[in-house]
Amino acid sequence: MKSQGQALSFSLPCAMRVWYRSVYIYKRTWLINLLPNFFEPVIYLIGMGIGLGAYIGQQMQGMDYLHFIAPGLVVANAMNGSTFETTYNLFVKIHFDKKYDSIIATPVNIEDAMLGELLWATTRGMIYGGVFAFVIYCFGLISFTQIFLLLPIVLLTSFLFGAIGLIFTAYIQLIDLYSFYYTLFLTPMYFFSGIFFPVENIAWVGQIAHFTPLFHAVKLSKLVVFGQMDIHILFHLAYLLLGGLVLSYFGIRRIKAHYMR
Amino acid sequence: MQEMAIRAQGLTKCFADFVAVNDISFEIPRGTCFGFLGPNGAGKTSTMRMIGCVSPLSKGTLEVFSESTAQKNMRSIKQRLGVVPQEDYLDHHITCYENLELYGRYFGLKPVDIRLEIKRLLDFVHLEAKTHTQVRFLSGGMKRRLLIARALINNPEMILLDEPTTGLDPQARHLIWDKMRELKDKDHTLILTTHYMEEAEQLCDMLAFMDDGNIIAMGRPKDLIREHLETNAIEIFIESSQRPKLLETFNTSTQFHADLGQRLIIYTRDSGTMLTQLHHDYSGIEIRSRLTNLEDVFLKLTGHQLRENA
Ligand SMILES: Nc1ncnc2c1ncn2[C@@H]1O[C@H](COP(=O)(O)OP(=O)(O)OP(=O)(O)O)[C@@H](O)[C@H]1O
Ligand SMILES: [Mg+2]
Repeated sequence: MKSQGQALSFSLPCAMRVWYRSVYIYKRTWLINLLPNFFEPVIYLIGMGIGLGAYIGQQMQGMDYLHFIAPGLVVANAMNGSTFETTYNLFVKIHFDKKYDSIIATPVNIEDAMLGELLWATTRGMIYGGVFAFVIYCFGLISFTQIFLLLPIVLLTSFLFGAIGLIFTAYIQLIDLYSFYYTLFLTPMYFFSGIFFPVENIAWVGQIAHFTPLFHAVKLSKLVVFGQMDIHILFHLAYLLLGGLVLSYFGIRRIKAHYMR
Repeated sequence: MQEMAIRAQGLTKCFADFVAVNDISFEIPRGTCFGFLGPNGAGKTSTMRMIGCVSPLSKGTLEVFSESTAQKNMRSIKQRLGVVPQEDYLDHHITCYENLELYGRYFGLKPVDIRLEIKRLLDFVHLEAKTHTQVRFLSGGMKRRLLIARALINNPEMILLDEPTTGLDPQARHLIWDKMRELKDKDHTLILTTHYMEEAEQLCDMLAFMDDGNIIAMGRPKDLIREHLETNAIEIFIESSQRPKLLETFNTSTQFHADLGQRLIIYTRDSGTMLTQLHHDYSGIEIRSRLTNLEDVFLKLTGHQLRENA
């Protein structure tokens, strides 16, 4: 009965038109949007890196603490950037502003619109992560080429977290539920993903951490910055990419079902 | 044979157990204006949304421009449609110009190509002075006009207008009517829902009355009036206690008459005789005589339903 509604058929040009809309809106307020999210990691970097770092010295895997936490903060920043777009922002656009109700009357189908938003979330994550990578370069914590090594990781991290936010948004009816998403998912992950201390050796936390997405992103960022590139990189990259693809596929399907009732 | 813009067979829309559109069939020839009328909740918007390819059918078949809407993506159909939704789905924090530009892009139009078109459309709906005003600062009627301009951005072959003139002042409404006639003359197909019978009478070649998800009557406005009622309507402002006697006198108690609170409307072929007698029997009561119109047909077709349910 609902056969025609469910199969997904994407058009990249149509998705890009929706992506463009978000870029267009964002351009008008980019500085106001970017600054708070830029200060936050800088405060962590300085507060923990220099403040806490003074006590820790060189004990963290033989390097000073500022160096140790910098790469992980880059991907965490990417995570925050894209998460916001496919959580609160997307929910408001779907349920309050009814943005897509008029968009889907045009050749842009709902799956195109969602793909566009996912690409935009990825773009925003890239901006946040990219800018922060540049900041730690200015702090002298990474080299100029390492900025570019970090970018593909920032890209995949942004994509994956955009997809996780999207599927969560697809399944909730109540905007208040995002507080659980942030306090029970993002915040613990932020602390136990290896940004601030190695988690592998902590009893069960280490086991759990392996399954969390940010862990792999942080791992990758440290591998490229501390120059330990090996075959594991491919595994972590695949995790981010496949996770993003699978979750976005099911998330978009769910949202399509919501529209094509 | 005339080419059909729409062919609907057994069109049905269910929301869970609720049947919003119940097995309706109709055809709409190209270049004509078709109107859906009916009380709130009749299923007009649900039907329009299926035609607009934003709501899948629960049952039946629907062809738009001879293409089935059951295909996987409806982009090629939607590329040729213009939609004025019942609700205001504009981007409130950007200007009128930007709204049209972004919407035009969804059709794959380039801003350089549509710049002149945007100006022309804003002129047309008399919003040129608001070109660079954010939509949230527009009045309700201005937003409706902007929605109409927006629906025309892709020069659509068919335009779906769900209550396009609700909330418009008379000047704006006549403006929109003129434009709709112009579009029809240029061989665009128009599908319209409205609660203004005058609008339906003036613009529509064919009308379908909907009630409870069913089409209860369909035809040309003039024919519908002729089929369903006598040619003259007499409105009598009379106390309800006196009504049974009056209806008895004129032998209309068995026929259709509209009972609208203060007003009683009876329909007759020969209004002259009836008026003379009314003035004689009921002097001092306000009586008006006029031609029967579509509103009367609406009352007949859907009005008693309301009373029964009440
Ligand atoms: N998404 C939905 N879910 C459940 N029921 C719905 C939905 N959309 C419409 N309905 C129901 O379907 C019926 C028809 O609604 P529709 O919007 O088509 O009426 P309408 O003729 O356009 O009325 P109006 O003149 O008030 O605009 C109503 O009873 C409405 O409550
Ligand atoms: Mg409606």
